[in-house]
Amino acid sequence: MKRIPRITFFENHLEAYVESLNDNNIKKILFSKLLENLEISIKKGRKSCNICYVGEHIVVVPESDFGNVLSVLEDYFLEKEEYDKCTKARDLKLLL
Amino acid sequence: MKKTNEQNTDLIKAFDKTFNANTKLKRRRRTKAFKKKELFISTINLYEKQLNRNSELLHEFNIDLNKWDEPFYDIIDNTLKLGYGEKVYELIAFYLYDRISIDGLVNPLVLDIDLPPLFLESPEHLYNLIMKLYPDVI
Repeated sequence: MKRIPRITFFENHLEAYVESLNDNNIKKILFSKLLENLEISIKKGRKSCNICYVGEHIVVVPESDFGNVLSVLEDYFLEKEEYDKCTKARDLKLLL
Repeated sequence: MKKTNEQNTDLIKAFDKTFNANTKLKRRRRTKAFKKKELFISTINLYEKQLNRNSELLHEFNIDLNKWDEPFYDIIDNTLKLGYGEKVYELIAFYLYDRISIDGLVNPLVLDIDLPPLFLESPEHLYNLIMKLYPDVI
């Protein structure tokens, strides 16, 4: 499976983007991949981490916001009862 | 229709909201594969535009340029066949000539009787399908 997921939006406005990003199937893949990629970025000391491809662009999160993203991931995996991923997100936050 | 800049702003807002972070949008590096895909998409778009233009001329002004243009279409079709092979050409020809029915609806593409029909929405969709079915061709 590819390391960075690609999202195709069929409608191009804010509500459609938010709705798609809140879709359970998209969230599951996006969040799991992001957790893996954040782990690599943190361990390799990178200044940013790629979230996904959208068209000709890459959505990236800068290093300064890794903590916020990890908190979101931690809450998500806790809610989904995926405790191993939740713990991983919490542990990665401690490395920052 | 929204402009690309507005769309990008909306996109970033959606990601910021989802991840509670200041995300950024970076343009992808134009790899060889990406350039090939862009060229394919633009060729199919131009071909389709040209076909539509001829059809409009015929219906609105009763000018039939098809006979005049036919050798040019044959040249393009033969070049596509030479470049991509017969099977890929069949998919391209379906997209250009049979995808849209007379009443303007999208016709399904049936690849296998056991598989669900596919609705090709764009040249990008066509390209992705070709890449999936015949990865060595393109």
